[in-house]
Amino acid sequence: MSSFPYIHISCPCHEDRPQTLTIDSARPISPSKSPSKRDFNFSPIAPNSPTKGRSLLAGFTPSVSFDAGNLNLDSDDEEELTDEDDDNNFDPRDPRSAFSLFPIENLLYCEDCHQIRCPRCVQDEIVCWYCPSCLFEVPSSTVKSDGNRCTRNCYLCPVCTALLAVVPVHHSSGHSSSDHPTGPFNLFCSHCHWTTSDLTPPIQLEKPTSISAQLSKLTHSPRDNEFIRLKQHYAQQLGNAQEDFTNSPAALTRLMGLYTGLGSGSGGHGGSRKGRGVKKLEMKEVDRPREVSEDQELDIIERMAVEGLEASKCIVALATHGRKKADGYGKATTAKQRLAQPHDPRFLSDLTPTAVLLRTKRSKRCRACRHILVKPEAKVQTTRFRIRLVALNYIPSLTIKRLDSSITWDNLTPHKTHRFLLTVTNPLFDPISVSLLTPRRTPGTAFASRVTILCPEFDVGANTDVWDDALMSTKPASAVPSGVKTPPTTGSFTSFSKDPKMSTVYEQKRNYTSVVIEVVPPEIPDTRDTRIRDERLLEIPIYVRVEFEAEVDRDDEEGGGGKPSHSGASGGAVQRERVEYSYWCVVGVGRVGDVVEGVVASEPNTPVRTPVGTPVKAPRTPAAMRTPLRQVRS
Amino acid sequence: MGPKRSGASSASSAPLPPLSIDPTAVLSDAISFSGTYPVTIGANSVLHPRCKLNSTEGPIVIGSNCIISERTQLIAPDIDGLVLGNYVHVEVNCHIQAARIGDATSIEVGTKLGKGSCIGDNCTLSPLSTIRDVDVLPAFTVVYGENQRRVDASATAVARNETMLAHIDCLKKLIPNKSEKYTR
Repeated sequence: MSSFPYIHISCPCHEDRPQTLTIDSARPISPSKSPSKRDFNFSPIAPNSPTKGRSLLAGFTPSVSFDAGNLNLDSDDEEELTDEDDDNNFDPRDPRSAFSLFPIENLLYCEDCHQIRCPRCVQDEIVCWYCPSCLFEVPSSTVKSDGNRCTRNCYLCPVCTALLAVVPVHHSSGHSSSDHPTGPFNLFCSHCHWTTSDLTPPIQLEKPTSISAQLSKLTHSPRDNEFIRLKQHYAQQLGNAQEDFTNSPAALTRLMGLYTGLGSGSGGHGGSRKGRGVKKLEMKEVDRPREVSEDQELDIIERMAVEGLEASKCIVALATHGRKKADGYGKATTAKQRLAQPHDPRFLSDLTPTAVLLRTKRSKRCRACRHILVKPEAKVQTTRFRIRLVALNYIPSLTIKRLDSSITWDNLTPHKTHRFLLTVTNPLFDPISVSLLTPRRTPGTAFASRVTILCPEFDVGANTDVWDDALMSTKPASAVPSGVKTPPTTGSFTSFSKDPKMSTVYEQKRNYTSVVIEVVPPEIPDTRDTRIRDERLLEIPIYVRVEFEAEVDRDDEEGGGGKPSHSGASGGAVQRERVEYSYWCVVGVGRVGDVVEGVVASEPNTPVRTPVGTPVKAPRTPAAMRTPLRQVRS
Repeated sequence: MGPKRSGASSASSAPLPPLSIDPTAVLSDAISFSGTYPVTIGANSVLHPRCKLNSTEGPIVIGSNCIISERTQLIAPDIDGLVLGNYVHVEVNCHIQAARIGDATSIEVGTKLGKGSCIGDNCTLSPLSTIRDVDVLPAFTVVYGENQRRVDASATAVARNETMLAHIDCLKKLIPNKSEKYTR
C-alpha cells in the first residue's frame, strides 16, 4: 500500500449473499437473449427499471440511476442528492472491503458466471507435488506417507537456507578431480560456507548419493524415536477406526450425518449416531509426559553459561574496539532457525540440514459454478498453463497517471485541484462503452475529498491488431468508437452515446481511452500516530460499468431448454448480444500532505477546469456522475 | 551509472595514472583509470571491461590471480591506498573503498565496502552485503543474508583458489588482452 498510485478491484464476493444467488447470477444481462419479464423493463424511457433487475442478478451491484433526460439540464439540485446515497457506495475504508480488494493481476475471471473471481472465491486443487530444487514430481501417495519434503538429495542450509552441495571433505588436487571423488563427503553451503563438518559430531557421508538415507541414520535423535512411537500409537488408533473413515461413500454419508447430528441440537448428537449404528470412536491419547533427562539439561545449561561468558567477553572486546552493536550469542540459534528445525536446537552446532519443502502446482475452480479457471500443465518442467482465465483478459483495466508532473503522490496539497489521467484499457476484441461513476465525495471518512471525473462515459476501442491502427490511419479517429452501434431497444446508455460524452475525452487510442479526473483533497490532520487507519490516505472508489456487444454461440445457450424461436433467424450460428457487467475498484491516489500557504479552500461547487480538453459543448460533468449511486426504489 | 560508453575514450584521452602492469595480467578494453596515484596490477590478474579504478586519493595495488568484474569501482580511500591481496575475486557492480582486502577473499555481486574498511583473508561477502566505513572483518568471516556474519570453518580455501585459477584460465581465453593499450 505504500507505493502510489495503486488500483485495486473489488471482487463481488465481498458482499454477503447467499451462494445460490451467485449461481443464478451466472448470466450476463442480455436483453436480446432471453426476453423475460425483466428485459421488458429494459427500455430507454425507463432506465431505472433495468438497474433493479441487474441488482438482483449481479447480487451486489448497486443500483445506478442514469437519468438520460437529466443529462442536458443544469441540475442545480445536485447538492441534495449527494449524501443520502452513502450506504450504497463502496467504502474502501470499510474493514470488510479490505478482504475483497485485489490488484487486477491477482484476479481471475469465470467465463460462465461472468464474474471476477478473487483468491477467496476460487477453490484450489493440487495438480502435482514437486521439489523446487530437483524438479522431480512426487506422487501424492508418497507425500502422504513420507511427508512434504524432498526425499532425494535436496537439502537446505540450516543457517542461511541456501541449497547445500555435496563436496568431498578432503580436497584432492586439480588433476584427480576429474576422476571419481573419494573419501567422506560434506554437505556444503556455497552461500555462507556452512558445512556439516561444523556440527559437534561432524556429519560426514560415505557416498555422494542417497543422502536422505545416510542422513536419517546419522542424525537420529531421541526425538525421532519419540516421534516414531507417537506415530505408531496413532496409526494404531486410526487402524481401529479404519472402518469408520475409509474412503467410501458410505463413510462419507456417515461423516456428513455426524455433522448434521451435531448441528441438530444437544440431544441429537449421541442419539442420531447410535441410531445409524456407528461405533463410538475412542481415541486414546498418549498421555506420557515428555521425558527430560537431567544430565542433558545440565549440559545445555553449562554450554549456555560458557556461551554467555564468551559473548560477554566479545561485548567487552567490541566495546573497546568502538563497535556499537554486538552480534550477541554467536553460537546460539536464532528463533527462525529454531522454528525451522523439528528438534528445537539451541546451538548452531545442533543444526541439521533440512530437506527442501515440496511445492505444488494447483488448478483453480470457481466456487460458484465449479468450472476450472486455472489449470497448469501437469508436467513439472513446463511453466505453461492449459487454462488460465485471468481477469486482465476480460475486464478493462484502469491506470492512473499524473497530468501535472509536479504532483507528488504521497504529498498531495489540500484544497488544490489535482488532475490525474485515468486510462481505461480494453482487453476485449469488441469495442466497449464504459461509464465510470464515483461518489462526489470520497465515502467513509470525515474528511471527504471532492472527486470529479470530467468525462464519465466514453467508448474504448477494440483490442485489435496493433497494425490495424496504422492501416486505418486514413480514417478519422472517431471511427473506432462509432463502431458501437446499438439498437435503440438495448438500454439507456445508447440514447446519448454520440457527441456530448465524447467531447471531453482526453486521449483516445487503439484500445484505450483516457479521461481526466480531478481531486480536491481537504485539509486532514495527520492521524497516523494516534489511530490505526490513516485518514490522509486518499482512496477513490470508482464504479466501472462496461457494456459491449459480444458474439455468442447460440447453441451453447440453448442447452437449458430455452427459447428456440429466438435464435431461429440466424440459424443457430453466431449472434451478437449485449453484455454488460460492472465492478467497483479503488484508486489509491496518494496521501494528502500538510497545508500549503496560499492554497485556500475554494468554493465547494466551483468547477475548476483543465486547460486541456476543455469541454465546449458539455461544460458540466453529466448528471449521471453527479448523482452518483442512488438506490432505486420503485 | 554515468556514461559508461565514454569509459574507453576518456581513458585513452585523459592522462593515465602511472601503471605498472605485470605482463601476464589480462586487461580488457574499456577499463577506466582515473587519478594520479600509481596503479599496480599483479601477475595473472584479469580485469573485465568497464571496471573503474580511481586512484585520485591514493595508490591501488592489485595482487596476483585476481578477477575484477565489470562495472565495479575500486576507489582508493586515502593516501595509504587500496591494496588487494592475491586470489581476490571482485564480482560485478561492487563499490569498493576499502583500505585492504586480504588474500583469497571473494566479494560478490553488488557489495559495498565502506571507506577505509579492512577485509581479512579468506572472507566471503555474499551478494549485496555492505560493510561500514572503517570496519574490520577478521579472516575467514562470511557475511551472508542480512549482513549476518559467521566464521567459515569449511576449510575450502585451497579448493576455491584452484577454481579461481581455472576461472582465470578460462577468462584469459575469452577476454582479448589489451594491456599494451594502457602501457603505451
